[in-house]
Amino acid sequence: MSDTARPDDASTGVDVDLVADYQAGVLAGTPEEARVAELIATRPEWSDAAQALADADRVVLEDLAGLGAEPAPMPADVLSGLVEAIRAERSAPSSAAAGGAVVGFDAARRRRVRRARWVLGAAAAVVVVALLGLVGTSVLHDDSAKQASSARSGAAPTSTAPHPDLGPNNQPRPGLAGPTLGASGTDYTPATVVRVVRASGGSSLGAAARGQVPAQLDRLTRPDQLDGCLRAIAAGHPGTPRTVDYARFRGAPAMVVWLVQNGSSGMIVAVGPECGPDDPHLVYETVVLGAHETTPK
Amino acid sequence: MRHDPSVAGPTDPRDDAELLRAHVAGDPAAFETLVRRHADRLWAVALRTLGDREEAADAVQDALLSAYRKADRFRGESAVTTWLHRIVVNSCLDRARRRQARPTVPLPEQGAGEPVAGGEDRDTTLTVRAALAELPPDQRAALVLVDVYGYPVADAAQILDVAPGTIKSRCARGRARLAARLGHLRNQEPSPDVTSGTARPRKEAP
Repeated sequence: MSDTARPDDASTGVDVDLVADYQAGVLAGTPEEARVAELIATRPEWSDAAQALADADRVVLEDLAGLGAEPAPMPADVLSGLVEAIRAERSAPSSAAAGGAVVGFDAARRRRVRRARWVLGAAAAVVVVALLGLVGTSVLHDDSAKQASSARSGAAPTSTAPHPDLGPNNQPRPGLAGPTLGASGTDYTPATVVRVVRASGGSSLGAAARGQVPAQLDRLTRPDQLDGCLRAIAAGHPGTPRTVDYARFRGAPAMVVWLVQNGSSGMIVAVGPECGPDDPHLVYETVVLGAHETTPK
Repeated sequence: MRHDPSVAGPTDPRDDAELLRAHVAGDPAAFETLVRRHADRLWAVALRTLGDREEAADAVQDALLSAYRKADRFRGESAVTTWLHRIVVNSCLDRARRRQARPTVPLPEQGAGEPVAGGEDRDTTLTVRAALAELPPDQRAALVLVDVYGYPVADAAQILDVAPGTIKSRCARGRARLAARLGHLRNQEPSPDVTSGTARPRKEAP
């Protein structure tokens, strides 16, 4: 279990998996049990590792039990979709044998997914409201009576102009509510994205922005297009957008969005130029936890 | 929501085996009653095993429709609930393995209608979920069943169709891996790829 071993395990040769098995009683009655017992009794590094693992094991068990104590009832939309699928199966038993039931199942799944999206959409209302507020505020800054009327009435903005939050040369304007928009010119990678985005702190992203919006992302600077894209992101990701950076990810044009929950936890997602209301065209995502983050393997 | 097997729901006096037999015999409502009875437990296991709401929903639906279709093959060698769990967990593992083969990341579990813990509890829960999501699927499934939801090792062994010793080993090794990732081992910094802002202070040597 080299990837889980303590840093010094490689040098000491302690096999953490073996120690874990030993402590769990898995080795009972095997020759390995006596060998590991002797190593723990006679080798300080094995003894230390065994003690550390035993101590840690109690804490991990508490963590896992805590997770189990968290209520996790089947959501109503999932249950109703499941019941719907069962009823569809029941109503077409003969076609099931012929494979026809798959149609009913898939239809039920589509209905479930649609319902789930609707519910998620409702859950994302805060984000959407925030975005509408952003558009409204931005419009006011843009002194466009027509757009202001559209935004206030709740109609989808139709402007094809760059997002009003972006000032001259598509640089973000400071001081507006909602996500800070920027074009930092950064080429993010999985290794750097969390550090760089977090370092921007959101509010400083605008000031730090020096680059231009990549041409392929121009469409997403339009308020209606940005709103549609952020809606699609919100449907699958919790949190409120704090920053939006029209940048690159692994060399390709990408909009990098920092979604924040509970202060600093949340997610960072990178989406492609095709991001729209029906599909965010997700390029990358990572969970951000407090001061740290989880990243993909 | 610890494991607490039940034989009959409050609205139907028949036990699980009777409901399944009734379904096979043509009772149109029996399977739905069975599903409603165990929906929450099956969902919790699927959600924690996959760490993603939509994936869990698809896995549970796939599995229970499969169970619906092949109910006549149930031989009563295990409890009905164990059989249902086995089908659901296998569906989850199939998806987890497929996802493991793709360059992706743990997805958020949180969806509409799910309770949200607040503050530090929420952060701790997120941290544990994230670390759990990075374990190999087999270890994760064993931990979810035994250490998260309290299923007896023997039941988990039946569900996962392995020896009880294998379950114990998967759990022990999985916890060791979590301990490293969560920074709970003495004299060890948290793993750089999964760390927690809420990790507990490491214990001093006695």
